[in-house]
Amino acid sequence: MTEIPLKETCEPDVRKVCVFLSDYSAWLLGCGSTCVRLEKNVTRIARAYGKTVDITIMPRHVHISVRDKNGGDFVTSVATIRHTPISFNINTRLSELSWAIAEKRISLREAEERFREIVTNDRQNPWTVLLLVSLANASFCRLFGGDITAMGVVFMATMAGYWLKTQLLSKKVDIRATVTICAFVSAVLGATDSLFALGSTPDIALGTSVLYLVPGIPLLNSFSDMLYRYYICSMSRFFDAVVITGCLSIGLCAAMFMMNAGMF
Amino acid sequence: MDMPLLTWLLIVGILILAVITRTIIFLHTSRRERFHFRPFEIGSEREEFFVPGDPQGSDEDID
Repeated sequence: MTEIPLKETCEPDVRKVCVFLSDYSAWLLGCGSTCVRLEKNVTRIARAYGKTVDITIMPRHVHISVRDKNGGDFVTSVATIRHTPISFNINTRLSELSWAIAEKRISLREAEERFREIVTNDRQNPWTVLLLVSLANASFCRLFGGDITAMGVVFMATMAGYWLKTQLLSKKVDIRATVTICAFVSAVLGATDSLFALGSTPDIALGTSVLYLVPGIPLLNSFSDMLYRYYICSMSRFFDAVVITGCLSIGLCAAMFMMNAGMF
Repeated sequence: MDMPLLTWLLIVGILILAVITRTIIFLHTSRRERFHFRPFEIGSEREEFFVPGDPQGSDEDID
């Protein structure tokens, strides 16, 4: 098999590759990638540019060391992981970029341009996301045995809570406070069914109204990291998820207490 | 009026008020291009402790 030559006249500078890989890693981890995906993608890109790479992934930082395959220059960079909402869209497109570099042999300059385009133009419409999240949570309600009234209540509770979450996060309110407030609001709205005796499954409506706040991706990533022996990141993600779940529980319990529902 | 109904009305009222306020602000700013018109805003920690002369490069809060 013949290897397609790079479009650049020479192999890119080690320092430039290192800076690119640092930015790439910070964004990929920030938007919800697992450690094993990061390591595979970064190694793939480095190999395409004729470099070897060593990665240390910490909970809030990532260290990248790049060197020439012939043992020449050696550069290390430390990048802070980006604090961005989890986005499978960016995640997928960054992975596609790594394959484009490895298979289509695009130049570093073009890769940097495509990278900037990916991270600055996330094509998700917030209103579409709001609608889909609400529909998904209403579907959860149905899966747990809720009737059509409960589904409608959960749909509205989720829509209100998720909208509030985006508003608070855009104002840079702490994520833990945001989750607590949103859980409280969604649970109070989820109790509409029982408050006005609308349907036959009010408990299911109340219980499923906050499911959209469950940190599923951090928990799954934590498990994946544990399987691939990234224990530090695994524990970090797990504790993050536990804290978020605790905040969710506080909001839910407060709402149940105020609404005279369930165990209170 | 009992507590659950009062809580429910309060939450719904605040949400409706917030949606209406955001809509009015959106319409107001898009028509008149007044991008800095914000009657209510949650400020960052840096804005609260800013002293004239401080560097303005980053708006990241210090944990």
